[in-house]
Amino acid sequence: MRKNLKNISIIALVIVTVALGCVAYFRFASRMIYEESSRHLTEIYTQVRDSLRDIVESKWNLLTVWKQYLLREKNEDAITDFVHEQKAKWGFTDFYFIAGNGEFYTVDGRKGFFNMHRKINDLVDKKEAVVLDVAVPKKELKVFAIPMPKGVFQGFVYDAIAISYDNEDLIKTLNTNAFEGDADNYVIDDTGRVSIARTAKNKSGIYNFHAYLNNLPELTQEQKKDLLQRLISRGKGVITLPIHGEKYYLIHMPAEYAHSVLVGLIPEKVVNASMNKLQAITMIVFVFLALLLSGAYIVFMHYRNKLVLSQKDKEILYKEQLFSTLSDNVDDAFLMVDCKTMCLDYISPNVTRLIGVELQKGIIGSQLSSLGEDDSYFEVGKHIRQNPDTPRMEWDKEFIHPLTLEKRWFHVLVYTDLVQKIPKYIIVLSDRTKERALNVSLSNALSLAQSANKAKSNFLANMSHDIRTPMNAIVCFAGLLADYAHTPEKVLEYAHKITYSSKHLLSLINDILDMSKIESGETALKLTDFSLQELGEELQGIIGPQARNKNQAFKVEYKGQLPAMVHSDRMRINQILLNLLSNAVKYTPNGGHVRLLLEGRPGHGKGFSYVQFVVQDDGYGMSEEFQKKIFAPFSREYTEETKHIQGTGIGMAIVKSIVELLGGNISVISSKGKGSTFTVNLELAVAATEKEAVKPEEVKTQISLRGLKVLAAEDNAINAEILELLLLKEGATVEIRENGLLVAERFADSKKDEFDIIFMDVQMPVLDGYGATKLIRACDHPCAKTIPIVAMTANAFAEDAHKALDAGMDAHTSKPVDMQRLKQVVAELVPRFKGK
Amino acid sequence: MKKKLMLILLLLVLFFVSACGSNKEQKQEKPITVYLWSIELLREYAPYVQSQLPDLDIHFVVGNNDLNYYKFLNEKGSLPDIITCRRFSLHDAVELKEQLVDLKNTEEAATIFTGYLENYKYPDGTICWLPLCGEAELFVANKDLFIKHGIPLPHSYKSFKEACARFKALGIKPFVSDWHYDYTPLAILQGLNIHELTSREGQLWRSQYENTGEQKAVGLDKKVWPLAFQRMESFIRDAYVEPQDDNYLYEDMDALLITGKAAMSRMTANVALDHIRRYGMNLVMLPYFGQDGGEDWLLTYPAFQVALNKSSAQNEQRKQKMMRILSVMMSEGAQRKLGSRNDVISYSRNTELKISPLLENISPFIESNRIYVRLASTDFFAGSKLAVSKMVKREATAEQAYRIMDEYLRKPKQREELKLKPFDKAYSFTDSKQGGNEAKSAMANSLRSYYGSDILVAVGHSFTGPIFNSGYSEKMLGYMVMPNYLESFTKQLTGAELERLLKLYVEGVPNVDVYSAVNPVNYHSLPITSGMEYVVKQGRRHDAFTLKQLLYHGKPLDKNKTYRVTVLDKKTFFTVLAEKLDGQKGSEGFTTGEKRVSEAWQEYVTSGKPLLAPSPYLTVE
Repeated sequence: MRKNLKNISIIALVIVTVALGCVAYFRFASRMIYEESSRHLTEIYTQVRDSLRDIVESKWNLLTVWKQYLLREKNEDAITDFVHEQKAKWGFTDFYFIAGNGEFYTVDGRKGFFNMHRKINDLVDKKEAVVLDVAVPKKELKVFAIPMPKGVFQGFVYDAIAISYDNEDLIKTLNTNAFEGDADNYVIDDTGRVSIARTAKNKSGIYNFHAYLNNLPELTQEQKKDLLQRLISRGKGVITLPIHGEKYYLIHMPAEYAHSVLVGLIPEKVVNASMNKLQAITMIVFVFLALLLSGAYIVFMHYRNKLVLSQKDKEILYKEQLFSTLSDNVDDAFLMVDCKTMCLDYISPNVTRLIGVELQKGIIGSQLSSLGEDDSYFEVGKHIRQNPDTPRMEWDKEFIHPLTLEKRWFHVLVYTDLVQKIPKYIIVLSDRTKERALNVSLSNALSLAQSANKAKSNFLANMSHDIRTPMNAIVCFAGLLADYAHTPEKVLEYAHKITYSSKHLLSLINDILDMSKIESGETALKLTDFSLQELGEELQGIIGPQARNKNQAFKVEYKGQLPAMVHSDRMRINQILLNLLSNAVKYTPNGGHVRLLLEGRPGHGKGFSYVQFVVQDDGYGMSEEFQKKIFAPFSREYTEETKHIQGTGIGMAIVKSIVELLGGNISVISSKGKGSTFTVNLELAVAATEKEAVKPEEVKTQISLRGLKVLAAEDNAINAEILELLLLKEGATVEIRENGLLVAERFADSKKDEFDIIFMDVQMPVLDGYGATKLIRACDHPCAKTIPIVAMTANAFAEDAHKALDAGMDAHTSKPVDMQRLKQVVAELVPRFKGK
Repeated sequence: MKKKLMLILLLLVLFFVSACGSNKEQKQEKPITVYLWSIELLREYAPYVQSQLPDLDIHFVVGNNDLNYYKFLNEKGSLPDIITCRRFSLHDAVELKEQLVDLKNTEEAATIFTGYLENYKYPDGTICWLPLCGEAELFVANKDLFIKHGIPLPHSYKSFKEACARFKALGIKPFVSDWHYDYTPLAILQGLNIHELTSREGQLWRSQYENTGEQKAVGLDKKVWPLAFQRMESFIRDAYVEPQDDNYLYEDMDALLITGKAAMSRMTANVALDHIRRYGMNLVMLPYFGQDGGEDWLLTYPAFQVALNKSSAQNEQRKQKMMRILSVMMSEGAQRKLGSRNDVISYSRNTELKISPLLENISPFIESNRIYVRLASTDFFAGSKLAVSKMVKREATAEQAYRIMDEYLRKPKQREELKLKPFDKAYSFTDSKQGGNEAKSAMANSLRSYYGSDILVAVGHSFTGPIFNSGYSEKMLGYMVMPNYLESFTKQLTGAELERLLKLYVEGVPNVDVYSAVNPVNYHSLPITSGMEYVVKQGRRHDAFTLKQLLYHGKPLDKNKTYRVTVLDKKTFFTVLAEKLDGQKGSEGFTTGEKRVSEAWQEYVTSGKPLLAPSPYLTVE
């Protein structure tokens, strides 16, 4: 705006300067032209006047000469010849002898009369030369007369002689070739009467110049008075005056003829033609240069402005692009509404996405309320009405997206601003749906974390109790063992009790770890084809003896369309059922009944079948209160009947976890004193019947490790000693190193077949088991690639086993060392021991 | 109560209406009054001027060919805007000089040839009067008679004298003229003596005479005029002018000439050409032959002179209008309407009036400038008539006649005493655009009373000016009526006949070849009625009117009823109208008044009868 003002000011200044220059130049040139023209006119008209004077004087001179001649010559014939000769020579119209009353007589005998009125007195009485205007049909004559001594010619008594000229002869003297016939020249007397006139072509005559001036409408009375005074006083001068819309030069000077004034009236454009041409050319050049400069300036300004505008456009484009991109990517919609009309002035392009408004033609300028059904769109109208003078308002608003019908949450911000001095509402609609969802989720997570923390505290409390209980037996019986070292019965009894408590503790730890793995989702299912019939029979084999020990009746029943073979994790289903059946036996008094029912029916899809496992007993049953938390870890109901029954309290939690892992569900119906019924529903894939069912390998318990040469890595001295004692007890030799590097170095230095197998602890200082395995496999020992390496670690999870295999080991065993498992591995890996 | 209210309301309405009316009247711009010296100017000249100036409201009045009338009007403060006068001399006009516009610096004055204009220049250079084209005053000879009797056409005074003698011998009157009028003695007296009058002495005497007002007596020049009367005496003798010739009217002269009972006469070229065309006469124009070696001359006088009222010209707008009218009046087109047959002599540089071929034998006089402009002062008319009449009647010798005229001229002229004061109330002469003129109506009503008629119809130009409630002379009373012999014609007419007659006056009668046949020029020239009102509707043109209605005592005129009607008009024109009205009978059924209207008016007024009040007589729609 300021720049425009500056440009306009510069242009205006240039125009004013040029205009002033033009005016000044025009005035100067006009004055110069006027002065030059005046000088020029004066020169020309002085010549005209002189010419007129010369002609008149020539008449007088002629008459004077003739007078002398007539005074001398008395021969009338000679006079007649002389007049004819002179007439031919000088071109006058006639020669007259004039009588005292004005009568005339010519040498040809023609008589006539000049009505001279008062001039006859001048001529005859005063003996003065006079000029007469004489009108005869079709012509006007100028008669120049001089007095003569009274004379007689052919009997005519005369007092004067005269010659006449056609007015045209005198008019010719007024011809001014300088103006191409456009000048009007007059000889006027003191009344303004025109005695000789030479007017421009096609122009009607003027007979009285004073009257002519008086009738000019363009002149004021003062101007007329001044002009007439100039003429009457026979002054000399040049002035310009307007006549019927055209400017004329009027030049006047004494005519030196009959007390007359010579007046010239010439159009200014004619007089100034050449000067005007020069002035015009100069002006044109000047104007052309001015226009050129202006044009150059305008072009320069145009391109400059174009550049500026282009940059501005770019900026605007970039801003628009940026804003468009921003608004496309942000969850804020922007609207600008006129405060007075509540009509939309601007709406950001992301409104379709955010609030489902289609950006159609005509939306700008429409009422804000037209965007939605509610006249108080986003409650904007309502808030403005309620708080008309509040410059800034904000609130949250739930909003159903009209296109997606999603429920969304918006934060609405309205503030008033002046846009180009016009008050506008700027409305910002911020989509806060995600933030709100996050908040809810965080709130839920917090609640969950708090609940988990509480569970953890409970878990730790339970763990503390359940671990301390067997640990107490172990520690105390170990102490008593020392005290009764010399009493073998006591030692045996206490050793037996320590073993029992240890196994319980190990079982507890295994259950905890198992449950933890299942809950963390790290449990991998091992799917195989197996027969449910066989599974039932196997359970019959395991649970049957336990039931019999308590005189309980246990039976396995099959019902419905049980598939012959299913494809699932046999071990986990077995684990579920063993847990449920063990508990049923445990919590059913002697003489009770335990029942396992397997019922099948078709599944949802082809190749699937629903299998329901029902474990039913008529034992102690559970309170309703306990039934609600039976599947929570460490949940145990302590009653008179159950308080002596050993249990970790996490078995049911593990069962539920496994059932859910398998995609099934478990429910319980129980009644205090009447027993409980657990129902497990699983949808199992039906396996091909001809495929041979995988049966668990039969464990060969009679394997001897005698002669086995073992290299072991174990950083813990006690564990190393236990391992050495156990292997030595089995007849094997063992060489133990404290870390992986030492084991690798020892193996590299060993002879071929110096060792049959390497037991490798995993967590060790210097170099762990995985690194040591890689070094061994990478060394150039002849048995480097073949020597079995078995992980022996407290890391007992399946993934630990996988990691061991990935590192190049051949098998995985967990601590505490299970010699049966160890023998089995040896039997599998050491060729010399295979089949033993 | 209700009636009173209605009455008040009605009065209020009437008050406002009348107030509006009076405002309207006040706003009506006064027309420019142009007084024409003769009714003949109304026929073609005035309509032409009006047609050239359609935007101007011009009231053409047939005034009097006597500057005394304008001096009278001037005394009353009612000098017209533009005056024309044929009988003119600076001598008569000196008194009006200060009341008239000095025209010396005007274009119109400058167009007039110096030789003519000089006649109108006062010693101080003032020029108040401008002459229009000149009429040539000639002797005419009936060529057929000359041929018939083998008498050569005269070419000099001597041959003229011889021809007269031979015609006399044949019993044919050699020369006839209308000696009854003053212009004939004046013209012949001067025409026969132009040689003397243009001598140095003659010129000096005339200059002295012209430039001296009528209050200062200037007698005849002792050197020039005795001889002139001798020439006059010779002429009367040589041309066999009989004493009874002194009573010859124009009609008498005309009859003798047309019937071939007279061989020669004097008249204007205009009239001569009219005779040639109208009667097929073979007339030859002759100059005034010089006697005793004197040169032959043409006697001329301007068609008329024109002057502008200085008081009116004080108002610049009015002056502009007056100058525009003057310009048109002096234009070539207007001059052609004066001499429509090219029988006038141009005085102007800007007109090209050609001499008619019929006048070709006088053109050498024009070319050699032998044109004498007569001296035409009122005194000179009267003096010439007085002296020459006695000579014609053989009551005075040349010397006696000279003395009679000299004494007459030298006798100080006292202005006629305006001792009569016949009118108690003054009336304006302004025509209302809606119709009506107070002065005209008052005179018409009074004259109807004089003629004892039911209805009076006067041509629009019958009356000449306002009525003053101040002094009049008997002559000025006569000048209140149009000159040129306005006469009265009375007859019992039915309403229908009256309507037809008025229709002719209102709507005009085209193509009537009578010089006094005047049709309306504009609303100013509509007829004046008394005892009857009439309504006309004006058309688009100034001179287009339609008679709509006649009212007698406020009611439509009964067409079957008979009324005694008196019409005031020139006899020549009225005869034509009467023929149109009554077929062959013409004006025979009408009783012509014994006295001319002007005389009747003088009689009515001087007998002490009252001037009747004006009444509405015309409504122009």
